[in-house]
Amino acid sequence: MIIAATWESGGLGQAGREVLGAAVRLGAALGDDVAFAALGMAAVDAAAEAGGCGAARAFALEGDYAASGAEGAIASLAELARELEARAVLLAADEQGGEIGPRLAERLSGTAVTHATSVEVADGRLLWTRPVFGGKAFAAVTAHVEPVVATLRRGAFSSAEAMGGAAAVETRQVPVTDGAVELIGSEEPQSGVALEDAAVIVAGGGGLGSGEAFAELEELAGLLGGAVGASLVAVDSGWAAPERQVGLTGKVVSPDLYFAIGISGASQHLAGIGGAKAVVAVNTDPDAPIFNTAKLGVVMDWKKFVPVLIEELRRAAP
Amino acid sequence: MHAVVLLKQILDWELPPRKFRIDQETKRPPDGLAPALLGPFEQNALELAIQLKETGVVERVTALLAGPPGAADALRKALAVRCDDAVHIVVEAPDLHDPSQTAELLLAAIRRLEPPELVLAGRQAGDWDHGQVGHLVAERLRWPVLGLVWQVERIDGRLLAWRSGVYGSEQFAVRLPAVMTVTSHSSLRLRMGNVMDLMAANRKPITTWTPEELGLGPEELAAAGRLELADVWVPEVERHCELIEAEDPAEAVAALLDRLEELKLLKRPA
Amino acid sequence: MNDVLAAEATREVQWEVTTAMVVVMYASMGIALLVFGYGIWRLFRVWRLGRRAAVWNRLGARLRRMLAAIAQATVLRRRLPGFMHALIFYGWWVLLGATCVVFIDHDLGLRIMQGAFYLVFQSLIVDLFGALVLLGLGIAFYRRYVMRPQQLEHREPADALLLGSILLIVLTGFALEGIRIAATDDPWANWSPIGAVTSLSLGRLANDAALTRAYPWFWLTHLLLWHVLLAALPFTKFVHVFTSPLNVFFSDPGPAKGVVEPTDFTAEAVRLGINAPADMTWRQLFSLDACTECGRCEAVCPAHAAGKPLSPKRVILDLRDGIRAAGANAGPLAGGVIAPEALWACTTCRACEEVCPVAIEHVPLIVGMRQNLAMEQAAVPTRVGEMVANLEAREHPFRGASSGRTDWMEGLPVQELDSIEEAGDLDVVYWIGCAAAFDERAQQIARALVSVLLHAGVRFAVLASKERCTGDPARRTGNEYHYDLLARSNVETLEGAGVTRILTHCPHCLQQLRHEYRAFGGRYEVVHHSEFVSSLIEQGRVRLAPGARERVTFHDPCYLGRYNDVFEAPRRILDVLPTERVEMPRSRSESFCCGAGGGHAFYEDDDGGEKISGIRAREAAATGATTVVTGCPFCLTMLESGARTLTAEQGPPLRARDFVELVADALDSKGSGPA
Ligand SMILES: Cc1cc2nc3c(=O)[nH]c(=O)nc-3n(C[C@H](O)[C@H](O)[C@H](O)COP(=O)(O)OP(=O)(O)OC[C@H]3O[C@@H](n4cnc5c(N)ncnc54)[C@H](O)[C@@H]3O)c2cc1C
Ligand code: SF4
Ligand code: SF4
Repeated sequence: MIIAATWESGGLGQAGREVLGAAVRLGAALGDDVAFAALGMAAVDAAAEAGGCGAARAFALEGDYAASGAEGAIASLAELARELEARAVLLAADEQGGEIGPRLAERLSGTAVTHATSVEVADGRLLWTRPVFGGKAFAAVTAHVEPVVATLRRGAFSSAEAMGGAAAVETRQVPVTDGAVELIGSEEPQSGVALEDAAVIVAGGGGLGSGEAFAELEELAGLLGGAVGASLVAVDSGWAAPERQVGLTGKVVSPDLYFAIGISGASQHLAGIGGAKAVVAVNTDPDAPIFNTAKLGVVMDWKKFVPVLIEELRRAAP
Repeated sequence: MHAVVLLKQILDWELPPRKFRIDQETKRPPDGLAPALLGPFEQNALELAIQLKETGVVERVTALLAGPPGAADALRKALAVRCDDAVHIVVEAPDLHDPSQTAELLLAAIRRLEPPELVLAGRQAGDWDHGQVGHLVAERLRWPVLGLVWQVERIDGRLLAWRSGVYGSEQFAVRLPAVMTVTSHSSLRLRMGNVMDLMAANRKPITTWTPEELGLGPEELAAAGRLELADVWVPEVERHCELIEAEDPAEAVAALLDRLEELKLLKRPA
Repeated sequence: MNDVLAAEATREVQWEVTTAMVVVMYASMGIALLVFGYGIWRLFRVWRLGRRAAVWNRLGARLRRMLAAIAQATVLRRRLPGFMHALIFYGWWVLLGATCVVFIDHDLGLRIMQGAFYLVFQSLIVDLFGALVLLGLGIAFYRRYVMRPQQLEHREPADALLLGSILLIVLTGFALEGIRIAATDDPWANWSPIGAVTSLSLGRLANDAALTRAYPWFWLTHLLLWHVLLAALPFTKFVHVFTSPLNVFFSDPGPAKGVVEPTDFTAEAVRLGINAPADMTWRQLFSLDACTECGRCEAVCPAHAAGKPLSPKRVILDLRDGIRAAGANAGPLAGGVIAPEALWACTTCRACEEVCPVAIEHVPLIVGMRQNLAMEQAAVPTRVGEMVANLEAREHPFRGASSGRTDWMEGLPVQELDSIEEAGDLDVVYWIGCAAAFDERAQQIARALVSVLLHAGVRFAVLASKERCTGDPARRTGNEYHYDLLARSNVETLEGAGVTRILTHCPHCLQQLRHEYRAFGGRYEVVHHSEFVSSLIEQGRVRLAPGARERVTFHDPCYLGRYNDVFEAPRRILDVLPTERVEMPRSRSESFCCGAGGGHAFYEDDDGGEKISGIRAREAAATGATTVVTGCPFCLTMLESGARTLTAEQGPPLRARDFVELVADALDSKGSGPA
């Protein structure tokens, strides 16, 4: 059995579809069935939808799994994996997946593979590919001990497709844990377009120089109907919120259009924008590596360029 | 309270991709390709440890590192920003790829130290980019763990920690002893340290242990292995960028919008 | 008047003065001397707080500098105020001389106030100089209260009082002379032309008897004012009449300029820069009392001009006042008495030192306080911290650099120096420096210079990956510890490779290799590429093809010009190229910094203000030049970014280039130099 698990808030989302797609293809290659497990409040909807996309069994693990950090999720997934004798558990490589993956593997006496971008079956073994050295290289790894708990990078696997059929959703409760880790409070999710779903992203980096500058990007993003992203330097400097970070340790995004403004283009940043259809770079340094990735480049101080762009878009807008 | 901060030196992460190479023999970058530096998230973890010492949450900080002899530089740095002790598990090259083995070495050392109540690690080492070691150490110690933390305070016997969640920052209370992995934050830029401390750090002793001394000879270490590195390669990247040639911002904006429209990437509102 | 220089010519001292007045006069003189002594002692107490300083080496140079200062050489560089000061200054000394003559003649009883000497000096010269002082005072009052230049905005009442009392002293002096001439029918009246004129006018106002009765009161006023002035001297900036010449004598006599004093990190108690008076040398403390508050330093300071929170004059005066007020306990100086923002704004361009008429050395004080901020307080701007971390980790200051140390020489037939034997066969070792290694624009300088060297058949080699940053950006930002490590390892490399003759295109490397490594045992003959290429041209080893004339202007890099006195070599090169060279208003030793010095290439202060580079680019564009030429990789990138801020009204687009790029462009490729 291959398990695909997600924790999305509103039914089966893009991340869940990708994880399920990977599980379905892996299951086909190994001749294994796929089980889908959804955690959280909207778990039942997601599980039901997954049943129509190739999952033989669908589980809704209900309850406030987040209240204990990852503990509740780990406990319920471990129980499920043991019960189903899973050979692999696939998760999304986001903040939550990073918390669950290694410990779930450890509890199952298996192996964790993080940030996988592909998997193939060779001589009956699973060969995982993952970026290393900040995306400057790729490594192929195999596990000595199974099961494997793998976290999958966003955009690297194609989504599961609806293929008819349905699985009865089995509902279970996420166990109550000992409370060693207890959620006290959290920020309201930001309104507006989520970075991963945005068609246009206006991202700023170290070249912006201040938090105020991000207000201008905010305006530009608004005019383009997009979202604002940031490099690690911009987040580290406190100009942008951490959840705005794009890259290896931030979000992986796949917009049609990605504006990289005052971003040098370090490999760790590029690791998050490989899925962008087109990158437009605005940078004062004509030798900045971002121009190697960009489709269109403007060598100019953003302080000159961005206000004019905003002006122009505002004028064109009704 | 005693805290241990786990450090690692990694290949200079600013090395540009076109300079990056892999030696097929060792499946690692060739020696001397770029300097080895204390990784950025390890720097954040170290800074957090020092801040916790300053705010009185912890009394003592031990920096623990597994790596080649040259990696002692990172421990000197830790001592220079006032870590109390430094422990070096000397691992000869090539460095460990498998996070399970790394965790096993660190665990063996932690068990020999004055028992800590808090272990801090970077969220992910920027060479193999696994992001596993902190979690594995916690799981094997059967301690709670919280990842992606960037601020910690003490509240009645527990720690109150701020972390980056999927949708934004979250606050957790964590029972001790615990492990936390640290992410970057504007408040966690590693300080420079003053020269007095820097010079004093050069005179302070660093405890060194070999894996064998920790009971982890080649065989034991192999037994702890989980992940095998089958292959490493550098991808080919094709690059072509069309530069918008214009001195004047208005011209550049117009030219860019035209091109975006031609490429059907953007529709200018009518 | 037949017996022109009559031997008996003299005048009576204390004419018509009562004994009581004489007693009062001597008593007041006594008090004045006591107060004066107390004032000097007070200052002395402060000077004694300082560390030892070497001030007796290079005596000849020191004396020459002091004499030049006494001759008002620097002062006169600025026209009106210089002229004004020279008038008062010379006049003051002559009048003081006259007072001494009276003292010697009358009080010591050595009759020297007689005959020709009396007539020519004591009468004619003193009279004329008195008049010149009046003229000078007139200019001073006019400038201070009518023209009101910005640098004199700190108008203190003490200044007016003192200028006023000098004025009164001179006026009463003339009145005394006039009365005496009028009342005694002085036969030598014509030797005192002003006195004679005064006597005529006084004669109209009152009769002789009245004048004679008034005389002793004028006399008393004249002398009492004198005493007031004397007593006030050590308590006001006018103490500089004594401290200035001495300060010039004590100041760094060169020939190397701006060398930072090394820190002894092996010492028992390491002193980390300047944070208390005891961290300064006594001569640094002394120099604070030499400041005349003229404000010239502030007027030329690029940071001040760009609206940054720095005035070199305020640095000196705030230190002086802070230390005077609190003595040994004054402090913290670094970041306290002097704000950190002020300290970090300095580009170490030395414009202030160059223009200071009393040879005050601002930069060592500023760098000294930065040393304390960096090394003891570990309080540096974020970017400086990042730069130092980069130096520590990667041995170059360029954060996020995407090149390697040898990328620039890809595809060039450049030889790498391997052994001492090889070094002997070479003309020079070419030191690349970090800029040309890690900044892609600056790489073009190195490539251009290499093409000129190859063309001229120069035998040279490079150290390639064995080079490390010279440490200049660390040193100038006060990170002396990191500098020390880099300097020592570079000296070791250079010694190990047997290098003796070095060529560099970077003035900062030049300063390090030529002067500052001496303290670490590194003694090399170091030439800047302007000197080197200019001599190649003189030797006829560079063949140039004719080309279209271009209007260029040369920007003097601070570390090439003011630090190393290389002004003409780059101009000589430009003059043999097909260029029309025009000068900016501020050039050579008065050059205006590009904004990069003092580590500023690696950090910008976010305290607002204008960009220094923009100011300089505007100045260059205003000459009508289409290219601003320089000889420093940092100036180059600064001017380039400054040029980008120019608007269309400010002139045609301006390019920034290193002169050697122009030479390389103009090389006659058909024949290279002698084989
Ligand atoms: C393990 C690891 C994980 C990492 N994960 C991430 C990640 O997820 N995301 C990420 O972004 N980074 C990540 N990094 C950091 C990464 O290596 C780089 O340091 C970072 O991406 C650099 O950000 P930047 O390009 O915005 O800043 P900088 O390197 O400071 O570059 C600023 C750029 O702005 C340009 N500029 C300056 N002024 C102007 C102006 N006025 N107008 C226009 N342009 C200007 C400059 O030319 C420069 O190119 C990671 C590093 C490690 C080691
Ligand atoms: S060195 Fe230059 S920048 Fe610094 S105070 Fe003097 S004039 Fe100003
Ligand atoms: S330091 Fe020198 S230039 Fe500046 S005000 Fe004082 S005397 Fe004038």
